[in-house]
This record gives sequence, structure tokens and C-alpha cells, in this order.
Amino acid sequence: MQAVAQKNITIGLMGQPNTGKSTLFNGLTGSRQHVGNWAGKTVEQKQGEFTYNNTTYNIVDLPGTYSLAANSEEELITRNYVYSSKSDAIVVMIDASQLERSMYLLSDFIGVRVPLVVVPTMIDVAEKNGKKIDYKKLEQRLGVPVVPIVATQKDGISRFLSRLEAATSHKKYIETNFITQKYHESFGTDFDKVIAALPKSGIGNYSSQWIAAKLFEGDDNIKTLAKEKSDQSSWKTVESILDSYSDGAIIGANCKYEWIDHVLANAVQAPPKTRQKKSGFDRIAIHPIWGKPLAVVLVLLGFIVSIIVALIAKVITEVVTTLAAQAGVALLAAGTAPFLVSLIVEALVPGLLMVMYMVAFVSGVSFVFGFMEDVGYMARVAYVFDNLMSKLGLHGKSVMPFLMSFGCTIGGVSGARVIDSSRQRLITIATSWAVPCAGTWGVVGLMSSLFFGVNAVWVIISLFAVAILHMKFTSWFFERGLPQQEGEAGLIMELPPYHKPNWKTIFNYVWSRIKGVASKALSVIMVVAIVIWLLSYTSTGNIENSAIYAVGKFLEPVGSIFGLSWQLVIAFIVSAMGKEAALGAIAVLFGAGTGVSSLAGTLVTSSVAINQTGLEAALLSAVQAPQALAFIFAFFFNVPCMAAVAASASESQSYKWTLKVAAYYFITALILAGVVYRIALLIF
Amino acid sequence: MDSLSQQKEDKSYEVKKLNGTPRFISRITSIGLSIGTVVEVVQNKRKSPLLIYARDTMIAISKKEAANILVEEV
Repeated sequence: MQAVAQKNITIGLMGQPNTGKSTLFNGLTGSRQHVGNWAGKTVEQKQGEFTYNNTTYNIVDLPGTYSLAANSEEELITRNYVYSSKSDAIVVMIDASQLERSMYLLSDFIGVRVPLVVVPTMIDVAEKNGKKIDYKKLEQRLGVPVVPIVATQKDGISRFLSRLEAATSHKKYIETNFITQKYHESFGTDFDKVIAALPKSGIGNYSSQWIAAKLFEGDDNIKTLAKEKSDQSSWKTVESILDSYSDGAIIGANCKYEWIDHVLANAVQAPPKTRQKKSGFDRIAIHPIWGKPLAVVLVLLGFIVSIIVALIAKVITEVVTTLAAQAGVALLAAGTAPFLVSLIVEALVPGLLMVMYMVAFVSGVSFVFGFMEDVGYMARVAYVFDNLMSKLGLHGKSVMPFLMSFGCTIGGVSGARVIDSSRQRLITIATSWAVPCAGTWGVVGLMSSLFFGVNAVWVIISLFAVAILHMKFTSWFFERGLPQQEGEAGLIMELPPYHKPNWKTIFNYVWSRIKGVASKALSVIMVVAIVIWLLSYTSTGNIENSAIYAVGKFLEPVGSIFGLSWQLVIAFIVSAMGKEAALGAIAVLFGAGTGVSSLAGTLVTSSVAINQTGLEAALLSAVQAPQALAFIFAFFFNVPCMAAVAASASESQSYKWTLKVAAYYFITALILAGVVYRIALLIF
Repeated sequence: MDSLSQQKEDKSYEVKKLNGTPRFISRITSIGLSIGTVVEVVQNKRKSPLLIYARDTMIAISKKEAANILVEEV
């Protein structure tokens, strides 16, 4: 057999947000995608590949951006890619239904020495709106291949591919004459003076003309770069020229829009501009009052959907747990060492089941949020909640993950994916840990009513009040460590028109989330489950023979500062594994729970038989009211659970950052407990 | 010239001037608002960002940012 000649082509995929970039990326690469991180960044890097006519295409999906400015980490990544790109072509997508606006990104490529292929999308929408576009004319004026695509059409992709191959072999840069003339008209000889001071051959893929235009626009990043690479004596002249153009950014933008008008003149026929009427749904969705309850109801529905998906996992969990218990008994009867049986039944099997449950839940959450994002609803939520969330230093969209967190923190953390800015996403994840999940209320409900009767209401109210302050502080605390810029900026966001869900995009999204979370969950949950098991295993079932008892006893003097006895210290430590099952652990610690030989068992299987009245009596006799209050606060603000830790590690792609957040919660919970304890001592 | 943040719903205005840092100018122009752009105010309610329609799309802008956009009615 004759070997087929293989060619490799690398393409960078770029476009403004909402131009259908992910639809095209998924359509081209299907399941052949891999997700990583940009070197040293928390921004996700997606790559994919496909083969067509014996040519392998590697596609780099670049973060969506409105221009080649560097106003956020995402935009900076995109620009750095353009700066040093060795790709065969950069595909710039433009929205045919909003050409004027979406060509702005293209206008920023004038003077960049990277071969371009321009891909108009949303052609069907443009046609529906009565627009007639002459793509041949566009191609002539741009000087680079223009390859329209209807991604929603069945043969759209294959027709596109047949033209892409030829287009990538052209290696043409975008035409520069018109805009150069405009820059000269606007900046006069100053434009040439600045160019003369710059390296003749430009810097990287940037031509000296492109750099000059960016300097006039006041781009600090480019200024630093140009200063470094230019002759220092002539740089002084440049700075004095630039100082006299305080409105350079506006002039530059005008030049670009004039260029767009020039390119589009007689190439587009459009009916007189009419804005589309608000649909009935949108009337409510963007309503300043009704938009909020609508979002809450939709999140609730989303939570129910996720729970239903997770229920399937729950059923499997129950069956497997029962089987594992029977297998354990059989193994013991066959003479297997008890610690080995305990390890399998109380750490390994429950750990694996928890991973499975978590993956099922995350896939449900991702589906719901992915759907809302895809059809265009999430942007409305961001708009309606902007005022409220900006008080916490957060984006309006963060309200969705927060609401989800009341159900389950994993949902909140995974849902943070809908936030476009990585910086805002990280702050949202860190802050959502402070939102009490459903599992919190078992312990908090029991202890507050047991110790404070009707006054438990005040305990709950103060917990919420402190939670709000906590979130405010947390968002400030974690904002500091992240690259600045976006924080001070107010909302400027497009509300894209609603469109039909693209199932392929949504399911690709869900699948990539599942892959991301499963591997992290497996390592985090298994490690924690085994460590806690090791610490708490005893052959007799008596907690006082375990290593964790020694730890608790050893830490008791420290714990007493925060109002925590040794049982409560241990309960606090292990509740970082999971809040839902912490009640079982407390029961075991106070001698009112039986059924397992290790604390790990109680935490992951929830199979402890709790003697309710015994537990209440034991708690009342061993714990004072101030201690109870201190523990309630410590527990409430502790690390939510190991699955939330795993989900955060998966979303942030950084164990280091996740551990920092975990340590922060652990320490602040203790401090809060200490403060509450001291205050309570004065009251009671 | 008045700031866009105080304008009435369902009326159209032309952008005359943009104030603010180069960063703000860069963000606002790249999303579609430059000198001469005609915008229609879709929704302008107290305590929520402004909704406008410009260059074939709907854009939400916080009141603070919209105050830096000076317009005249057309």
C-alpha cells in the first residue's frame, strides 16, 4: 500500500462573542478535542483536530474578543497568540447579521502579518432580516479569502471545508491602504514620525504601522513592548507626540468604523434599520422586577433536573452499598483481615460511588446551564442581577451559581462556568463556598434547636448576616491575588438575540465538564477518603483507639480557644469531607451512633444508625451553649465538602489555588467560631 | 449634549462624545459605539443598567458607564 502524503495545518479560531464560534469549533472537531490551560494562566485552552482530504487540521479555539485590545486576561491571551502565531491561518469569524459591529475585530487585524481567512456566520439570520450580502465584493476589498458558512445546515461544514483548504494556502494579509490613508488624515505627519521611531520590520507579527495605531489609541501594553524594542533616543519624541493625543482612542475607532463603512459600501443591501420587537418572554426576562423571580424559578427547575440525573446514580449507589456490605460480611467470614474489609467497604467503594454521584450531578448542572447560555438567556440574567451582584464585586451572572449553591456547592462551582471572565469565575467559585448548601441544615438545624429552642431563629439570622459579610470579604480577599483591570469596570455587555438550542454544542460542553470533573474528583475524593479512614479506623469500633482521637485530644487545648472540645474539633475536621453526613460522625463521636468501624464510613456511607434521643442527651450533657454556637459557626463556614473541593480544582485547573481557598475557609471558620464563642460567653 | 444614562425609552440618540479612560473607550467602541453611532434606548429603569439598541444588537451598559456617553436626540 502506498503511504498517503500527510499535511498538517494549524488554524487559530477567533471571533467576537456570540458569533457562533463554539458551534463551528464543535462542528469541525466533534469529539476530537482536548482541554488544557494557557501556560501559567487560569484561562482554559481548547484545541481540536480533524482530517479532511489527507490533511490534518489543528484548531486552536481562542477566547472570544471584541477587538485586539488587552482589557482582560482572555483578550491578552488572544493577542499574544496573534503576536507570536506561526499558524497557517487565523480564521476570523464575523456575524453576517451584524456586520458593522462584528467587523471591528477584523479591522484590528489590519497591519498584523498573519494570513487570514474571514468566515461570515449567521448567514441565515442575515437573510431572514432581509440583508443581501455580496461576499465576492467583500473578498476583493479585504484582500483575504472570505468563506461563508451556515453551521446549522447539514452540508454547511463540508462545503466550508472544500473552500477552507484553498483559502489557507493563499497566505494573504488583510489590505492596508484605506486605513493607512485614514490614519494619515487623522494624525498627519505625527503618524509617520511614530512609525519612524519603531523597528522597521515591526515586532513579532505586528507591523510598525499597527503598533503606531495602537500607541495613538493609548494601549499601555503595546507601549511597554514598543519602548523596549525601540531606539531610546527617538522614543522621547514618540512620547511627546502621544501625549498631545488624549482622544487617540476615539480617533482610532473612528478610522476603523470608516474602514468598515468603506468595505461594506454597496456590498450590503439592508432594509431600513428596525429593532426587533421584544418577545413576550424577553419582556419578563429583562424586566427589572420580574426578571429576578424568573431566574430563581429557572435555577430551581435546573436544580430539579440535576437531582433527577443524580437520582439514577443514587439508585446505583444504594444497590452497590448493600452489595458491598454483604460482600464485606462474606469476606470477613472467609477470613479476610477486618481492616482490609473496612478499607474496601468504608473508604474505597463509598469513595467511588461518591465520584459517580458527583459526576452525574455535574452533568445535570452543566446541561441546564449550558442550555441557558446557548439559547442566550444567561446574558439577561447578568443584566437583571448586575446591580445586586456588583455590590459583592461580582458579575451579574454569578447569581446563577450562587442560587445553585443553596442546593449543592458542586452545582454552584460547576455552574460558574457560565461566567466568561476567568477572574470573575474564580472569585465566584471562592465565594460560593460560603453559600450554605442543603446538607448544612441537618447539623445546624439539630444543634441550634436543641440548644437555643425558639431562639434558633436568631442563630439562623445571624448565620446569614455573617454569611453576607463573609462573601463580601472573600470576594475582596481573592480579588487581590488576581490580575487587576476588570474589577473597576462596569457592565458593558451584548444581549444576543435568542436562538434555537444547538444540541451538539451543549452536549460537547457537558461531556467536557464530565471529563474534567471525573479525573479531579477521583483523585481528591479517594485520597481524602483513604486518609480519613486511616486516621479513624479502629479494630474495636471504639473511637478512643483511633489516631484521630489522639489528634483531637492533642488539639483540644487549641480547640478550647475556639470553644471546641475534642469531639467537636474532630467533627469540624471531618465535616470538611461532607456536611450531609456530618451528623452521623457527630453521633459516633458522642457515642450515640453505631454501625461502622471508622469515621470515614459514617461520612461516605451515611449508614450510621443514629440514636436520636441518646445523641441529644449526650450533646446536652457534654456541650455548653456557647460551645454549641461556636461549633455551629465553625461548621457552617467550613470547607463545604471534598466533592466541592474536587469541582473547584477542576474548574480552576489549579490545585494550588483550590488548596488556598480551602485553607482560607478552614481558618476563617475557626476565627469566626472563636469570635462567636467569646461573645457567647458574655451573653450566656 | 446630555449623558445617555438620563435618556428616555424608545427614543433615538446620536453619540457625540465619549469621556473616560482609553480602556473604557476601547471597550465601548469595540462593542459598537463610536462618535456618530445612532442608539435607541430600549429600557432605562431606576437601579438597573441601561438597555440600548445599536448597530443591530442589544447592549446593556451600567449607569456609571453610560454617564460617560454624551448624546443628542435625533
